[in-house]
Amino acid sequence: MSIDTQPDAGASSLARQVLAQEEQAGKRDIVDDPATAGVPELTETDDQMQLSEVVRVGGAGTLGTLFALNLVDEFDRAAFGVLGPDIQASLGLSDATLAFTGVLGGFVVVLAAIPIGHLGDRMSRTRLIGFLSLVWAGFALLTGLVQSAFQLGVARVLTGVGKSNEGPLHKPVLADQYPIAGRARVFALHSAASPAGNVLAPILAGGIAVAVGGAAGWRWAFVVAAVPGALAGLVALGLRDPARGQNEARALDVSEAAMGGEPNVPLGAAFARLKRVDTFRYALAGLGALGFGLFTAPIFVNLVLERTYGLDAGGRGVVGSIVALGSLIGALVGGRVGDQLLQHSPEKAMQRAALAVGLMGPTMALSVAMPNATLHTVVAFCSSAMISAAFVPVTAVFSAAIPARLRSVGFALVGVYLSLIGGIGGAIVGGMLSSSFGPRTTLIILVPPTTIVGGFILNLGSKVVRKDIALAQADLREAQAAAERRARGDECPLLEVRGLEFSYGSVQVLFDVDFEVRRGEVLALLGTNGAGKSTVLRCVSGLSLPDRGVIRLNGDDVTLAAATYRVRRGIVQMQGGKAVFPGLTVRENLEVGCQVLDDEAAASSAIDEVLELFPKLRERLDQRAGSLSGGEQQMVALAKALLLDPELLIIDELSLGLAPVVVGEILEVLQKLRERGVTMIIVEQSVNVALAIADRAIFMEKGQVRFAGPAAELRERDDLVRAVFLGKEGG
Amino acid sequence: MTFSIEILILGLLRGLAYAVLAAGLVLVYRSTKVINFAHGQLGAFGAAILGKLVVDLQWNFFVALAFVLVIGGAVGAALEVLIVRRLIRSSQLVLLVGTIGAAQLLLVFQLLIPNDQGTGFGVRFPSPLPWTATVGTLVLDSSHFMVVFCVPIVLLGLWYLLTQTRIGLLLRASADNADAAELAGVSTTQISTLVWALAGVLSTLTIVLINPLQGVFVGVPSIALGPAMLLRAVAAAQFGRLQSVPLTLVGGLFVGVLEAFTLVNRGSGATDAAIFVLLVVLVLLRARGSSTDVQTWSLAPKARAVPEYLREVAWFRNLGSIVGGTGLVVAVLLPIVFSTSSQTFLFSRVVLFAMVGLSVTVLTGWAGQLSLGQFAFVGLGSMTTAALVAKGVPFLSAVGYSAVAGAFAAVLIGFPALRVSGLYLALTTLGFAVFARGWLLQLDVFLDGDTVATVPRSTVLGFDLTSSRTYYYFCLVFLVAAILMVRRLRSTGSARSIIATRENEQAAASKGIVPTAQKLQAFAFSGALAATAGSLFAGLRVTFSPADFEATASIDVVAMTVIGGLGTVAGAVLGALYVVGIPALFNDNPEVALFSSGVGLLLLLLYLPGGLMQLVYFARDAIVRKLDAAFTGDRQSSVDAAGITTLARPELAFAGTDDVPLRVEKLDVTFGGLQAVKEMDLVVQSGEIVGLIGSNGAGKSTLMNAVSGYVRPSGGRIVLYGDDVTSYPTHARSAYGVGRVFQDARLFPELTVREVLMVAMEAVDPSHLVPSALALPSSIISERAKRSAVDDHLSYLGLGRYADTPVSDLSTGTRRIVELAGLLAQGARFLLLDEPTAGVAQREAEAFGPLIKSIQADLGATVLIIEHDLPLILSMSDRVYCMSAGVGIAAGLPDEVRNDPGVIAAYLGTDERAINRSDSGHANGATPRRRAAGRREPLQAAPAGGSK
Repeated sequence: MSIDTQPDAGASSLARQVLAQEEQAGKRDIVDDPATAGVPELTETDDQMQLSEVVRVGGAGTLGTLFALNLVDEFDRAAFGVLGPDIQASLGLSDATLAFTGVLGGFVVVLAAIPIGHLGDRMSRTRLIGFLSLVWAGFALLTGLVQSAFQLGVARVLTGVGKSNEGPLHKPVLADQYPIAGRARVFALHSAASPAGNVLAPILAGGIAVAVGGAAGWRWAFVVAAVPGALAGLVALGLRDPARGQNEARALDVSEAAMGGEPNVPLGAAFARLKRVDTFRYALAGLGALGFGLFTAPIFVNLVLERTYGLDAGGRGVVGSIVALGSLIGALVGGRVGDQLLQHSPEKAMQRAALAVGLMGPTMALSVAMPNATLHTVVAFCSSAMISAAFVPVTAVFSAAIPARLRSVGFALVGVYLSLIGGIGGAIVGGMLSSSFGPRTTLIILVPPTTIVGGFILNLGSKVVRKDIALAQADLREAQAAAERRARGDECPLLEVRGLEFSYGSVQVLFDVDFEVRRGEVLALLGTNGAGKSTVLRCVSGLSLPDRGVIRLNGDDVTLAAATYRVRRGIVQMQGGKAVFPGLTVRENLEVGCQVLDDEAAASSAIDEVLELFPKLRERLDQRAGSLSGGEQQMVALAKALLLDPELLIIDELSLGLAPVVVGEILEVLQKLRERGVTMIIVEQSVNVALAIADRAIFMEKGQVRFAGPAAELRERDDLVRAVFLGKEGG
Repeated sequence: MTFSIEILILGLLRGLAYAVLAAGLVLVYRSTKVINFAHGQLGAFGAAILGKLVVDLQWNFFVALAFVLVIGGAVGAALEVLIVRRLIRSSQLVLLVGTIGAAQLLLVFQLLIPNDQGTGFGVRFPSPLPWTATVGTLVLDSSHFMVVFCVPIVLLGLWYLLTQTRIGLLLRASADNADAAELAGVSTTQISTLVWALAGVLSTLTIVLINPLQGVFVGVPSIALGPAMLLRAVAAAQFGRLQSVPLTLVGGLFVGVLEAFTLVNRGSGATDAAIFVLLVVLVLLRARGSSTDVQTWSLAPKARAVPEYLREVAWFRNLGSIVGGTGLVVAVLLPIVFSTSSQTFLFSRVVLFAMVGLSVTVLTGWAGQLSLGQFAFVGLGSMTTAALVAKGVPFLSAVGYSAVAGAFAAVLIGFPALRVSGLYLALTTLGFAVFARGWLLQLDVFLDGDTVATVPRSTVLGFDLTSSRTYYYFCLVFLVAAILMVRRLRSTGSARSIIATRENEQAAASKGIVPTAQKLQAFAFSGALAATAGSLFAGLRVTFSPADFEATASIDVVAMTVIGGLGTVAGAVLGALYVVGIPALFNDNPEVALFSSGVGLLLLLLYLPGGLMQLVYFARDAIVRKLDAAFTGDRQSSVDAAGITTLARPELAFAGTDDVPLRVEKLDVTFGGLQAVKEMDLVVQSGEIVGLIGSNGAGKSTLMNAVSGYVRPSGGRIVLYGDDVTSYPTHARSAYGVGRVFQDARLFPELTVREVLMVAMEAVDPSHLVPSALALPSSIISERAKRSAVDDHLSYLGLGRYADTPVSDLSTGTRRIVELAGLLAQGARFLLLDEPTAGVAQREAEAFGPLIKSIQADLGATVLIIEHDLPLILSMSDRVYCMSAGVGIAAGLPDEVRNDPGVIAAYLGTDERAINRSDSGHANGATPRRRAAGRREPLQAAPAGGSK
C-alpha cells in the first residue's frame, strides 16, 4: 500500500501497519537448541576404564597428595573440637570466646575460598595448594604456641586461610589430572578422606594430648599435625598443574593451543558467567537448600544421642565412627555408580543423586525417631551413606557442566552456598526451633523438608545437565575452529564476535550474534531501536557480560575481561549523548579521559593533540561539560575517545539529537580518522548517515543479525531499511 | 534565653563531632549518591573491638586504634563488595533501604563479639589523653581534646583528597558517569571499594571519638547512630549540599551550637524541633532545582501480563479473591485456635502493622515518596485518640478524628514534598519522626502533663471490646475495610493519576492532572490510614507513652513493606506477617527480629528485589505459563477483534475565546544567567502543521516547554485560543485542548497501555479521591465510560494485544503509537510534538509522517512539531520556523527556510549526508501542492540513491 495511492489512509490503518512492522521484527528465527545437538561425547575414547587404569593414567601422586592434605584438614578441625576444653582451660577463655574462635575459623575457610578460587583460575593450582598447605602447617604450629585469646584468633584465621585450598582447588585439579571416565571414582576416593579423618582425628588428637599429658598436651597435637601437613604441602609444590580442561579438550580433539587461557577475568565476570550455566544455578540452589538442614544436623544429632539415648562422649564417638563408615562406603558406591551412569546419561546420574538426597532427610528423621541407640545407628548409617553417595556424582556432573577455566571459582561458590547460606540460615532456624521444641523434634521437622526441596531442585537441574555439557563442548569446538582458521593463515580480524547471547533478566535480547571487524575498516551497525545494537557494543567494550559467546581482539579472547583492560588494549567506546562527565570541566574530562596513559607528559601532549582537532574546545576548557551544547558535548566525547589513540573506535549513536550542521562536522572528523587507518564501528539510527561513511554494514533486528555485507548492498535492501509498507517509490 | 561561653564551647565540640560524622556521609554520597544509614554502625564494630583491646587486653590506645582502623576499612570494603556493588545499578532508594539493612546486619555482627564480662564490663569507653581543663563550669577532658585535634585534621585530609588529588578526580568522574569512567579505563568498582573502605576508616575513627563523649560503656552493644544523631549529621551535611567538606564543617558547628543553645534554654525536645525546622529550611533552600532528576522505584514486584483470553478461565480469574478469602478465614479462625490473650495481642499487632504497611504502599509504592516518618503518624493517631477519649469523646469517633488529624498532619508535612523528592523527602520525614518523638507527641495537649497516655477499651456499637479477641476482630474489620478501599482505589483514575504523577510528572500534567494535588492526596490518604492504625494501637495497648513511637520504628516499617513487596496490597500484609508475625512466634527474641528485618531485608534486596510478593508472582507466572500452553481457544484479543475503524468523537467544550491556537509574542526565557529564548514571535493558525527546527540548544524545546507551561517565561506573552495563559500551570492549559508528545516517549512505564490511555482521559473526565475510594456510583459510572472509550481507541489503532502490557515492555516505536493514541483519547485539538520520531529507526520514522498527519486529520487538530529529521519535517509542515541561539532566524514555507542562507549557516550546514537523515520526502512523496508549484525537492544526497 502506498500513501500516494491512498492519500486518506486513516490513523487506524497506518498505526496498525507500524505495529505490524514492529511485531514482525519481533519474530525471530528459532535457533536450534544446542541441547539437541547430540549426546555429549565425553567418554567416547575412555569407555569402561578400570579405576586402577584411571589412577595409572593420571599418576597416583596427585590423588595421594590431595587425599593426605584433605585428611590433615579434617584432623585440624576435629582436633580443635576435641581439644577445645583443654585450650579453654589453658588460655583461660570463656565458652563464648572459644565458640567464637571456632566459628571465625570456619567462616574464614569458606570466605577465603572465593579469592583463592579466583587465583586458582589464573595461576598454578598445585603451587597454590602447596603454598597454602605450608601456610596452614605454619599456623597450626603456631596454634600450638599461642599464649592469648587474640593470638589464638589470629592463628585460627590464618590456618583457616591455608585450609581453604581444598574446596576450590582440589577437585578442579583432579578433574583435569584424571580421565573423565573415572572422575566420579577419583572424587569419591578424595572425599573419603573426610569420614576417614572424622574417625581418626579425634583418636589421634586426643591420643597425642594424653600421651604428652599436662596442661600443654594439646599444644603438641597441633605441633605434630603440622609435620605431615607441611610434608604434603611440599610434595604438592612439586606436582605438575594439569592444563585446565585438557581431558574435555582431548575427548573432542581440541588442540591445547585453541584452549588458550584468557587473561584478566575479574571475579565479578566469573560469577556472572557461571550464573548463566543453568546446572550451576540449580546445584547452588539445591545444595543451599540441603545445607539448611544438613549443616547443623550433627550438632543436634549429638544432643539427641546424649539426651534421648543417654550416650556419653565415648558412646557418641563410637556411633559417630560407624556413621562415618557409612559415609565412606556411600562415597565409594556413589563414585562407582556415578561413573557408570555418567558415561551415557549424566541426567540419570543427577536424578539418582537427587532421589538419594530427597530420601536422605526422611531417613535421618527416622534415625532420631528410633527407640534405641542401636537402631538409630543402623538407620543413620544408611542416611549418611545416601548423602555421600549423592554428593560424588553431583560434583562430577557439576565439574563437567561449568567451563574448565572457571571451575575453581565455581567450586568455591558451592562451598559458600552450602555452608554460609545453608549453614548459617540453618543454624539460626534450627537454633530457634531447638530452643522451642528440643533437638529431636527440630531434626524431624527441619531436615526432611530441606533435603526434599534440595532433591527436588537437583532433579529439576538434571533436565539441563545435558544441554550445559553440550554447550561447554560447543565452546571448545568454536575455539578449535578459530584456532584452525588462524593456523590456515586466514587474516585475523581485529575484532571477532561469535555466538553472542545476552539477556536482561529473563528477557533475551541478543541471539547468536556473529560478526567481525577487519583492520582499518569502518563498520556501520544499524537496526531498529531495541534491536540490540547498543547491547552488542556494551559487550564488546566490557560494560556488559554476555551470557554466551566469545569476543576476540586480535585473536585473544577478551569476552570476560574488564572494561578497563580492553581500554588499554585499544577498544575505545564513545556513548553518544552521554559520554561526558557533566559535572567536570572540559579540562577535567580530558584528564580523566587519558588517565590510562601512565606518563603525564604523554597525557598532556595527547590533550594538546586533540585540541588541535577541536579548536573550539580550547576556549571552553574551564567550563563544566554539562553546560555545553549537545554538539559541543559530542565534541568533548570524541576528543576524549581520541586521546587514547584507539585501535578500535566504537561510536554509539553518532547523530542522536544533533543538528545536521554538527553531524556534518563530526562526519568530517571521522573521515580524517578513517584516512589515518583507525578501525571504527558506528551505530546509527539513520541508515543514510551511517552509510555515508561506512565500508561495510551490519543490520540487526530484535537481537539478530539480518544482514552483513558491503554498505552499498544494504542500500539495495529496501525490505530492511525502508518503510516498505508505505510504498517504496513515492515520486 | 541565656547564652554563655560554656554553651558556645560545648556546642562547638558537639559540632565538630557532627561535622566528622557528616563528612563520612558526604564522602559516600559523593561516590554512591546515597545517604549511608549504615555509616555509624560501620564504625561501631571497630570501635567495640577497640574498647575490648584497650580495656580487656591492655593494648596501647593508639596501637589499638591503628588496628581497628584497618578493620573498619575492611568492613567498609566488604560492605561495598557484598551489598552496595550489587544494588548500585538499582535506584538510589533501593540502595538507601539496602544501607538500612546493612546497618542492622552490622549490629548483629557487633553482638557476636564475645563478651567475657571481665574487666571491661561497665567501664567507660577509653580516650587516651591524660589532660583536663576547666572553662567556667565546664570540665574538658581527653575526649574533648581528641575531637579538637583529630576532626580538623581529618576534614582537611578529606577535603584535600576529594578536590586536589587524582583519586578525587577519578572519584568525581565515576560518580558523574560510571559507564563513561569505565570506558576511560577507570575501574569504578575499585574506586567505589576504596571510597567505602575510607568511609569505614572514617566512621571507625568517628565512633571512637564520639563514644566517650556519649558516655558509652565498653562491651555494651548499642546502636551507634540513632535517628537523632543521623538527623544532626544530615543537617550538617546539608550545609555543604552533601558535596563540600568545608561547608559541612561550618554546618556541623552551627548545628552543635544551635543544639547546645536550645538544650540549655528549652530542653531536649526543643532541640529536636529546632533541628527539624533547620533541616526543612535547608532542604527547601538547597533542593531547589534538583528535584528534576528522574526517580523510578524499581522495587515494585512485577508479574507477567496475563493474556486476556486466559481471564476466561473462571478459577484463575478469581484466584486473588480465593486466596484473599482463604486468608480472611484463617485470620478469623486464628484467635479461636490460639486463644491466650498474649497471642491475640500479637495477632492484633500484625493486623495493625499491615495497616501501616498499606499506608506505605500508597505513599511510597504509588506516589513514590519515601517516608521515613510513617510511625510518627501512628503516634499522632494514638496520642490524639488518648487526648479525645480523656475528654469524653467516644472511642469510635476518636478514631475518626484521629484519621482526620493524621491526614491534616500529612498534608502539612507533604507541602515540602511539593518542592523536593526522593532522598530529600526521606530526610525531611526522618526529621519529622525525630521531631514527633522528641517534641510533638510530648505536648501537654496530648499528655496533659502526664508521662503516659491511657485509652481504656469500652463498648463500641454494642460490642464489648475489653476482650482481646473481640478487639482483634475489631482491628481486623478495619484492616479488611482498608484493603478493600486501597484495592478499589488502585482500579480507579485516582490511583492511576498518583502513579502517573510519580512516573512522569510532566506528562501527567499535560493530561490535566494536577501533580501537587495528587501528591497531597497520597500523603493525606496514607497519613489518615497510619493514624487510624495508631488509634487502634492506642486501644490495643491501653497504656502507652511517646517512647512507643521511636523514629527507628518508621524505618522498620519501610523495611517491612519492602520485604513484603512494595506497591501491592498483599505485600503489605505479607511484610507484616513476616516482620511482626515471625518474631512473635519466637517469643519476641530480639535476634530473630533483627534477622527477620535486617538480614531478611538484605537477602531479599539481593535475590528478590520485589520482596515476598515476587515469590507469589513466580508461582502465578508459572500457572499462567501452564494455562497458556494448555489453552486451545482463540488467542486474539477481544478488543482487537471488535475491529473498530472509526471513532465516535464526543463534542468537547474547550476553553478559549478565538480560534487562533497559539500566539507567542516577544517571548523571553532565562535559566540562571542564560537566555534560552529571546524575543521570539510565533503564530500557529488553526489546522496548520508548523515545523520548528534549529540546532541543539537553539531554544526549540524551551519554547515548546514554555507553551506547555513547564517553564515560566521571563517576558512576553503566550496566548492560547485568544486567552493569555502565560501564568497558567500546565494542567490548566489542557483545558484548551493542548496535547503534548515528548522527546523521550517515556510515558508512564509501570502503567499498562490501557491505563495510560485512561490517564489521558483524565484531561476530559478527572477522577476524585473520595468517591473513588468509597466506590460511589459517580466513580463507577465514570470508570466504566472511560474503559469503554479506551477499548474503542485500542481497537481503532490495533493496540488490543498490548492492552495489559506495561509500557516499559514496549519497543520505542510501539510506545510512540501509544503516545499518539493518548492524544486521540484526550481529544486534543492542538498538538505539541517534540521530536516524535526520536529513538525510532529510519524505517519507522518514515512511517510516522503520514501517521501524524492522519491523526491530525482525525482530530481536526493543529500541530506544532520539532524534528531533526529534515526530510520528514519539510515534507509534512505547512510552515517552518528556524531558531538559533534562542532567536527566530527564519520563518516561511518549508523550501524557503530550507534554502535560507542564515539557516544553512547556523543549522543545516552543507553536508547533505547529515541533512538527509531519512528518505521521508521520497518514500512518502512530496506533497502534491509543492510539486505543482514546481519547488525544488529537498536535496537528495548522493549515497542515498533514491531513484526518481
